[in-house]
Amino acid sequence: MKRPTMYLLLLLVVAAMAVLGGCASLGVEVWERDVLAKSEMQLDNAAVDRALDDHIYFSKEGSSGGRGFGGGGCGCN
Amino acid sequence: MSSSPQGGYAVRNAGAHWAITYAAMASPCEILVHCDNASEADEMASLVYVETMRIERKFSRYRDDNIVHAINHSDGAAVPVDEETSRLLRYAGQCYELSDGRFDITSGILRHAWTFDGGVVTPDDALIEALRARLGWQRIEFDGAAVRLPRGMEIDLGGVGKEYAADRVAALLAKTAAAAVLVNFGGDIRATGSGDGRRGWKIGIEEPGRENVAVGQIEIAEGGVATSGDSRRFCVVDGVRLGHILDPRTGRPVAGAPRSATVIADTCTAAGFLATMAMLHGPDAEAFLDAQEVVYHCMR
Amino acid sequence: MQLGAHRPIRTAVTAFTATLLGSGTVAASGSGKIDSSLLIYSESGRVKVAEGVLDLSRNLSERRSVGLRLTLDALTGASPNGATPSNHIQTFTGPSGGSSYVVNPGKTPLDDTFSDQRVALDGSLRESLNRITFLTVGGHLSWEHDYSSFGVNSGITREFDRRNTTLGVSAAYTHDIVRPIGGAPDPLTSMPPPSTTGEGEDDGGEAGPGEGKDVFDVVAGVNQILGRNTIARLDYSLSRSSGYLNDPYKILSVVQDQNSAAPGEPSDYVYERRPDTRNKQALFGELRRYIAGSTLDLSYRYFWDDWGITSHTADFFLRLPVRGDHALEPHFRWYRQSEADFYNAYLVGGQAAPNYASADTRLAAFDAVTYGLKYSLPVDAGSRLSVSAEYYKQLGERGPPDAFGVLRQYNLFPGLDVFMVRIGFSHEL
Repeated sequence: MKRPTMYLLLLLVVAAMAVLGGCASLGVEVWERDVLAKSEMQLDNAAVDRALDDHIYFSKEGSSGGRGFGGGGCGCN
Repeated sequence: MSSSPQGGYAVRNAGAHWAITYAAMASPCEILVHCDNASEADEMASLVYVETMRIERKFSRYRDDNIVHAINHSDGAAVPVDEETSRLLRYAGQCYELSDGRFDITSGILRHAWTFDGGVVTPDDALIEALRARLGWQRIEFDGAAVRLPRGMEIDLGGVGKEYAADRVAALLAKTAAAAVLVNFGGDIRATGSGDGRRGWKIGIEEPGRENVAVGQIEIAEGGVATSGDSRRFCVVDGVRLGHILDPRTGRPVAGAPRSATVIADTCTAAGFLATMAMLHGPDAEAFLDAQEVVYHCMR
Repeated sequence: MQLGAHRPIRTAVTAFTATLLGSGTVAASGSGKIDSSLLIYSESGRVKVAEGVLDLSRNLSERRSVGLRLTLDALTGASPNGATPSNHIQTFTGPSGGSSYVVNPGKTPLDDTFSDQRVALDGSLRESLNRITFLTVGGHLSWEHDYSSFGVNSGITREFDRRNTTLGVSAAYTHDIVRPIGGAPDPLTSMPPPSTTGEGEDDGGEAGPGEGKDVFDVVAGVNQILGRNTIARLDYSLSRSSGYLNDPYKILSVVQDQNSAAPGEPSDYVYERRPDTRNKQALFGELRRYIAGSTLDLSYRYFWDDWGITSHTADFFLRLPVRGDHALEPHFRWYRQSEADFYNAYLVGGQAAPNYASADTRLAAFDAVTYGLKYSLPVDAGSRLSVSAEYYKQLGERGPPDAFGVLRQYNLFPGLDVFMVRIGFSHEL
């Protein structure tokens, strides 16, 4: 792995830990979830659209994965 | 414009909104919605009617085919409960603790010792003590998945059921329609706005004996209203008029309580609990509600 | 009943009732949903695809739900075969050996013998183990004329801290069988010359014996509610493939060297060769925020693998409400990737053949952008219709800095210009 890549990775991991470490103070009370309950705030609300996107970009680009699985399943390499 | 009652409910256009009416839980039920046309209103009516009936059938003390009947006739055995019943029981337990034992869904059996038809009553102390030995939430075993009542104990969800139904029905409509909704189950009210800052609902408060004369008015876009106390149900003991709210810790009606307490809170269920709690504080009802920082109206 | 101070219990009451009422969401969230979409994808002058997805999910009980997804697609059109343009006519042998196709001078060689249909089926079962832990198991099957795949996956998620934090991990195993038409060619060997009699040695158009490929994926992630209007997530994924990873239809031009009579002109074509293992990793972060009625979603993925490819993907989605529960959603995506270690736009004759080589532009260095706009509206109670249009463009370097001769004249990165239209329909059961 190249050096800048490693530093970027380290930064992201530290950021993640900071998020998780501070998570006792983050978040909302049970009765403050009105907005979060809206369908447009569900992270998986456009599953079919994202699946189509993943298929397109998997066929035309060299990367895959991130949101979900980066497996094959089709002959588009 | 109105449509004929079908399946027990009626839908009519009341100008700025539509009104869905039916009878359930021993109360007149009225739901006001803002929506675009009669068929939308009819669809909502069908939804809320089915949900109200579902809750009534499931939790009514008077039926012999539901979970409450099974629990009350379990003869000391553990009864597994579904998720919704589990949540209600958990809530009842939390209320019991929060109220220091005043709010207790096992205290329904005290009705055997009291009649509240306005007449003079001489309380049967022996009966009251016998009944008090058979109540107390602390005697129940509940682990979230199953509940076990010792023999002779009963639960009664009547004190929560109507308010819970009002909140559930309002949430159901809020999820399926973008309309503003007002649910009124015989005075237990839940309002939900459409979230775009539209005007709220205006609710008039009547004084018993002077119906159709509003003594007060509140306007809410989002929230619940509940009233505890019913001035038509009372008894007279030693010349003192007592309301029908019983304190499980003494087995007797609360002395010095207001005739009624109306509370506004985030949800109808929360408002109902606080209103009942206020009554159970007797002469301290107003002081208790002041400490809770809610809008209320007590009638003495 | 004491006189004097009363304990404030309102906060506790609000919390208890919120839990009882499911805090805004109805506990029985409907009995299911149908989600469907039709995609028409068109590369200018090249591949055209029609793809349809039908997604069904159904709540069997308060604890269990199932999902089924059917995908059908039909693909036709021409795709670059990896060879470089030439000043002369080029003739290439088709996959079956019997057919051949001709490319005019100056044109990027495209293989237009592609035409395929694919059917894929995905199933999943989701179970709530207790109120905060969920288990999912699923399976996948797909078939094409020359490719089939089956896989299984499983995942578990658990919520913490008043359901504000969700941790999840999932794993998948997939086995693919590639049956290239005409059989898998020997990598880095020459493409056979087009048969003069028009008959091939092999079964002429039939898929040959199969080559296998195994893929193992793991994803670990965290979702975190940051505030009343904000949710974020971070995912790490790892994917290991092994087996037949070549594209059996792609070749490289072997060009004459600088000192020859026709520098840069092809003298031979060889099949590509990729390593037989690949390890991919990605780190993905997403932030979604509700701002005064609109919803903004920003995400970024950093990807790297052991083929030397690293990439950055940044996505921007905005949902703007329009009167009457309609919505307008602009979308922008930016992508940049570096080239694979063994990416070669061409090979030079006389030089030692590398271990691995591919001229597949999907492994080259390029940038890509997508611009999209989607409009959706409710139809009937519980149904929603959407239409979207998108434009996708890939831009790469004309050629490597050491291109010489004829190769300097041409743009060796064919590029890509794609228009896409989607129609979607969803219905809550």
